[in-house]
Amino acid sequence: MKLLKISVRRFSAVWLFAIFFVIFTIARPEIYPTMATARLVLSGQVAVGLLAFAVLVPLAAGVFDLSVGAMMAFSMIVFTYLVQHTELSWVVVAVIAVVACAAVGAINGFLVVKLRVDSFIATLGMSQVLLALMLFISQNRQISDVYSHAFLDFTRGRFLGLTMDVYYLLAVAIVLWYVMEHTPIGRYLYAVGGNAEAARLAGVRVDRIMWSSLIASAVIAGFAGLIYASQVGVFSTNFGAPLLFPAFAAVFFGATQIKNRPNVWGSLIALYALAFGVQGLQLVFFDGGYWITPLFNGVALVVAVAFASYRRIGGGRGRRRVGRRRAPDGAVAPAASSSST
Amino acid sequence: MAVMGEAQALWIRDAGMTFGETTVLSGVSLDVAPGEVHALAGHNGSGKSTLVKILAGRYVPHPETSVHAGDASLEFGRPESSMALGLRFVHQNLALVADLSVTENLALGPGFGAGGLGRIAWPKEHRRARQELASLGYEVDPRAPVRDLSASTRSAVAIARALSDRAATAARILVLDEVTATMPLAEVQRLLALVEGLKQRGVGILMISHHLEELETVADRATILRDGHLVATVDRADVTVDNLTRLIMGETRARARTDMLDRLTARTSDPQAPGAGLAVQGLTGARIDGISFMVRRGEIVGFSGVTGSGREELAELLYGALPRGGRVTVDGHELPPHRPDRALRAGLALVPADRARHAVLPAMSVRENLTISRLSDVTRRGGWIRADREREQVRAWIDTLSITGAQDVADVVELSGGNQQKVMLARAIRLQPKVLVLDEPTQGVDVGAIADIYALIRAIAPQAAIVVCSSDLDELARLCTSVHVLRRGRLIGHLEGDEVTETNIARLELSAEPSPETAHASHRAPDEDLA
Repeated sequence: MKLLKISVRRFSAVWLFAIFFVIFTIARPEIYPTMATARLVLSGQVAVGLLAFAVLVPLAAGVFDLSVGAMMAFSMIVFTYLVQHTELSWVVVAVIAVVACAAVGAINGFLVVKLRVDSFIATLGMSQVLLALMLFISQNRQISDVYSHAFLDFTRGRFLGLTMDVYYLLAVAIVLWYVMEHTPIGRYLYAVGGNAEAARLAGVRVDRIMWSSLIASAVIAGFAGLIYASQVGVFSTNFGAPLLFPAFAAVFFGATQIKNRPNVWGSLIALYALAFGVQGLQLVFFDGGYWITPLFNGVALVVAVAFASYRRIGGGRGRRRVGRRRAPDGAVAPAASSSST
Repeated sequence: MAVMGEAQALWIRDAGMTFGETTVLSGVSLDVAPGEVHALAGHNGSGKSTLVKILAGRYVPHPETSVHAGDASLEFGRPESSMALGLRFVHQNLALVADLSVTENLALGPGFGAGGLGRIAWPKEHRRARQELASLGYEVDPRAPVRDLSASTRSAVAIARALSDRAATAARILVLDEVTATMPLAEVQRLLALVEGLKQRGVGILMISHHLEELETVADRATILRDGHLVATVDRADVTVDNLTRLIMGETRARARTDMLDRLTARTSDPQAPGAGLAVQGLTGARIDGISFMVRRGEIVGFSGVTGSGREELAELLYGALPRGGRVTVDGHELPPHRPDRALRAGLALVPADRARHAVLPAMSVRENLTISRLSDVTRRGGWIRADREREQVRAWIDTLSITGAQDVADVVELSGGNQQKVMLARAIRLQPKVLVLDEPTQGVDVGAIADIYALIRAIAPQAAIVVCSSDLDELARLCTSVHVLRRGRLIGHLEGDEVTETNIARLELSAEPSPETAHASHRAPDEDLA
């Protein structure tokens, strides 16, 4: 691959990260620049990162999947329930949970592709159905002490000083990067996201691509649920849904990085730049500062996207907008829309 | 109703307009009297729409231009001034909101009369809407959504809104801009009756239409433009289809002989296998009404017709991008409808007319845009796209098509219109299609690129059957071995070899001979496709 030119615009998150690192190292030299902090942040963002990928795949095709948070919770309760009530090995149960998610993803696809429900609405509705299922199965109770050691070690084991969960995130990232950047499937995803009608007229099976992207999203979100369950060690009805915003934020911020569209490494860089920033702030404001995370994520997202848009308008090549846009056929498409003069 | 000035409702002197270095309108003067229907005729690019846009306050013309309505003059570039002068416009697309009711549509713009507490007095508004349409001769349920109305009724709603006395100043001039272009014949007649009725109200009407027989029916006078100049203004007796056609086209333009030669070589260079190429039987779409034709390999067959004739949907029907009836076969294999991907695999490729909406993949590189229709030949087993091979291919295309100043990794939307179009052509030609369908292949393309594109089309003609749908008659005359002319969804004429001239095509396009085909078209149900 060609050596990527490091510019402020294409790697603003990296620069942001560097600035955070310097500031917080000066502010808290004894804690911030340590392996323990790095490990904490890296591992702490794995579930959000996976969820971001679950958002990313359909979003590349212009499809919103707002059910990923609830999908994650659904995967967790299916897994937890079966572990609790059956003698099956956790590996088998994990596979069942992911397959169940894939089935729900297929229903999402049916709603969007066959019944032509706007993806925003279809998956928003599905997220509530999934939450209901989760509450029903769990009887709205926290469930603890049901996971085996083997399952807990699945993420807690260590390799080269880092916990395994970080490697899983990396593995998924590499697979997605390969598929999205180097195979025809990735081309088709972005083509559909850029202009679905043009893609259809260029011979792309738009329906199939949208449908598959929603199934892929569900599988990744299901996997994220398993990772999260293993990390935390208990099931709680509060898990899953709150991670929806940070996941979307990482993808939208990431879409301003490296390439001018949602992409794997951009999402990952954005995710960790924000996470290390939040971590630094929390260390500076000792008294906890749980309020810092959403505030920081929200402000950083808007500022980063505004910055990217501003730079492009300054480039004098017409107006562009990063984030949502309306495609000509009414579908919502992500990334930079543009108009030639 | 409006109080008319004594002489003219509209008075235009020396209208001129220049874009960059091209003068699109020059020294055009015309008057419209109260109660007169004044036709404005001319081909695409003759300056009609420029003149309309000046009247609407959209363009600022040359300083010597003056426009008066009654005793006031138009301040150019200010739509409010146009409105205040009593100029009203109804365009082809009518600018109605399909899901809103008749009453609501009538209130768009002027607004509702508010009742107590600022609420809308619905019963009163509905009554008023009903009256406004009744005065135009239409009995309409004011609560009905505009979507459910027939084509001429929708135009009546748009006209009622334009003439409404809700506006601060009364309407003095109504400009009807191609309102009948996509209307079935029976509906056209109803609308023309409405226009006759408007004369009684003392409104001056400036009417633009490609359907010259309509102008013959209703116009009191006609002004003909050609290449931005006024050709003539003729009185009622001379407003005939023949006369108008002659004035619109002017002298027969000599065609370059070299193009002729190209055409002959294209024609004879390849022996045709039986059944080779494109065969179409009973093709039916929203406007196209059961047409059949064949295009063999080596032929470049043009399709012409005024807007609304069906020419604009033909390419997408063949490709299966729009729902269609009838049979389309490529080398004897029938294509399933509504499956562009299958059409592509069977060897029929399309370059769409609307580049921005139907062809260009934004935020993707030239390379990605060029290869999207077939990636198999640059993909290794296992699905890895071989970047080196792809880059090589795309660079070769960039060189071949002289896509100037473009890198294969450049974002496609950063290219000029001409270069974007070349990329779209390359996308299709790269597939080595058996049938290549080009819809308005040089729309929005600069002159230099047009020559390149023509050369490219001629170069591949021996290997493919080529269909060119175009509203540019010069293009058809220069490019095609034969031309079919569409009118109201039917093929009404066919020109071959030396007959393929701009004048001949235009004659057929505009001719009003009542053929059985057109009579048939008039029996079709009102179309339902309000966007």
